[in-house]
Amino acid sequence: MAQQGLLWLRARAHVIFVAIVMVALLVGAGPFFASQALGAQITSRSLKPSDGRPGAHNVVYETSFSIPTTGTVGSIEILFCSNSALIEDVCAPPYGLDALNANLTTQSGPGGFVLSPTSGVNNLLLTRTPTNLNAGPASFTFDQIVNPTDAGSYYVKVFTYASADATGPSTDFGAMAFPIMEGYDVSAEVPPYLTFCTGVGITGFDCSTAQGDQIGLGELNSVTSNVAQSQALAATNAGSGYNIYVHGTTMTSGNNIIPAMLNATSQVGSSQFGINLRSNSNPDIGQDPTGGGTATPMPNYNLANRFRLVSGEAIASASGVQDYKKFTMSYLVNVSKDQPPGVYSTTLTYVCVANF
Amino acid sequence: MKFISHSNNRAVYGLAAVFLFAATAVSFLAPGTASAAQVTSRSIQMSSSTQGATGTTYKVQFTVATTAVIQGIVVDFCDNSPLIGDATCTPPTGFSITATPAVSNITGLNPTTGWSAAQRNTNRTLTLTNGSAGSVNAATVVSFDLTTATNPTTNNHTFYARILTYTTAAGATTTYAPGSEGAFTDYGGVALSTGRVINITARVMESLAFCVYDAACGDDPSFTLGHGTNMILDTTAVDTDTASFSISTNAQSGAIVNIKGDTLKSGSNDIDAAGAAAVAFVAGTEKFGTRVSTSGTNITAAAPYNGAANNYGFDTASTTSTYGDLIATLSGPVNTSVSTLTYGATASNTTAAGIYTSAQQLIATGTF
Repeated sequence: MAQQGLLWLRARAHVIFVAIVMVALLVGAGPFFASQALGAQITSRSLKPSDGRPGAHNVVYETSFSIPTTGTVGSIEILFCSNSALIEDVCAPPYGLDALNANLTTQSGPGGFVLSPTSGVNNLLLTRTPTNLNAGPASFTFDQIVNPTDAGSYYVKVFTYASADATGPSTDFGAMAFPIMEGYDVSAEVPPYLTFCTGVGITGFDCSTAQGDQIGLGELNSVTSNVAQSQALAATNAGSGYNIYVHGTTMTSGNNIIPAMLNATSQVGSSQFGINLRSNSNPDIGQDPTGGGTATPMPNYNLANRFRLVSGEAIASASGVQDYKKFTMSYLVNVSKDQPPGVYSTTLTYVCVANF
Repeated sequence: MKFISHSNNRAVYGLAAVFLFAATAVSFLAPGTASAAQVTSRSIQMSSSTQGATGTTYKVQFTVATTAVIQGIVVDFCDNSPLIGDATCTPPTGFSITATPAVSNITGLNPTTGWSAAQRNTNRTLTLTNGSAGSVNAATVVSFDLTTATNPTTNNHTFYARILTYTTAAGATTTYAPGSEGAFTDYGGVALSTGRVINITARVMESLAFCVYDAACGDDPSFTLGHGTNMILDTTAVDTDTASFSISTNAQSGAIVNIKGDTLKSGSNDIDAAGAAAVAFVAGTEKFGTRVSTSGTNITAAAPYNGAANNYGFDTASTTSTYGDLIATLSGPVNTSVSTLTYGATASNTTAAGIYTSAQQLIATGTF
């Protein structure tokens, strides 16, 4: 009898195996669905990240939705999934998403929720003492979340529970989708430039109008001052601005010279030669700088009625990018009675150096 | 084993013999009278095959076989047999024509009005009578709707109806009984069946597909603003370039698209942003901004990014905030709505030299 039973079992071994597998599957699947009651659908649901780029750290997630069912609510589970928004599907955590360090920073609506320490890497569990909750909008903001590593669409499932620990059947459910994608760069190159020109005269702020490179101071005598002027125009996008230098000697005629001035005022009857960048009244020559920017004459050349000439000295400077500014260089020459006769001349060179 | 095989064969032959005998017997029993003929093209069309469905309409239709007066019609619903002459007619479980059956849309009878519907056998048997009705020719199609039937409560279940016509109303209301149908004129059996309701479920997941690109989704939309061989930004032109974004979503409340990022910067230097109101760009007046130059389906550009051509906005107070600045709204679900952003920039004389960059991103948020 026992042997016949054994033979019977052997003959039906495959049937028994299939039956056992099916029973096991049914029993095993039970826990995954047992707690998911299909309640009302949560509406007006959205998830807004502060940064949508893959792998971004310290991202703020603001999720908003409207709870449809008035009743006891003790917990809200927010579940991030990469595979499905469907309630019955087992959730696959998005690769790279990390909510372990998340903090609940703000909340609106029912209130009173705290982030449960049992929250997981893709699971934010909000809990409170189970109390009645009126149907209506709710919003929660979390920080310190790390975005999924890969670009793509991801899903968020939201469940409400009467229990404080998301156990038992869920009351309401809703899902949403949110994208993770790379940002993009906008770039532009602004090339360095320095515009500088000199001339006896410049119209407006247009270097193309600069004209003249010869100045005649006339016949010198000991009873009047001889004056003249020239102009320089400068602009640059050099971040550290520019300096304008003067190079050249005082007026000479062979071995005879007219001494250069060192911030001296005009002394008719004394031999002296100098320049400045201001509007002077004694003698009446020159004008103050005009135009935009912050460039100014250097202090030694920025004194009205005082003149100076030291070769290699900076006569004007700017500390940053400069729009067009026009400087007027005034030239003063006086001679004494014993100034040897001759044709006195000099060549002054202005150099503008931009500091990029 | 051989013995068992013989036994099985005998059983099969035995069953076959019983079946043939029964079939022969039925063929002899079916006609109740010598003049009776079988109605043809007979059918009962159910408005619902759902088990237990109430208020179901049964459209009874048959072609008269014998020219004769028809003043009574019987339609008897049986669970066991459609055979006329079978003395047993078991009511289908749950079936009823109700205590006050209603019949409408009568055609083919003479006349088509003045007919009374009634039930017999505890709401199982429909009688349709008219004591003053006249003759109906053979080959006439008779049809009427029984509108008060309740289907049997068993799904996928076959049941039957026996149809008989009488020359008198009393034939239907009094004479008829299963197995002793009396002097009927024509007869016929019909089979019906309930069906199992097919519940079809389809689940559509929430979806939000968003892509920012240059020429096609997947490429890098990054670009350099400038002109000339060296692609430089200067005072001579307002330089522009574009990036597109596509959005597909089933979010019923639509979506919003925010732009996040700063103005063009090079170290501590920057290019002035257009600001919170759209402004016309003038070459040589340092500005950086963007605008929605092409709005896709259901997309509405938001201020200040909704300006006309050459009018740009870029509100850094918002674009550098937590969620960025709203640049466009999507009014509802859409399948691939493509919009284009045009960026513009120009330098002034005082725009510091350098390579300026800005990391931009568009963030789409659907409201489901």
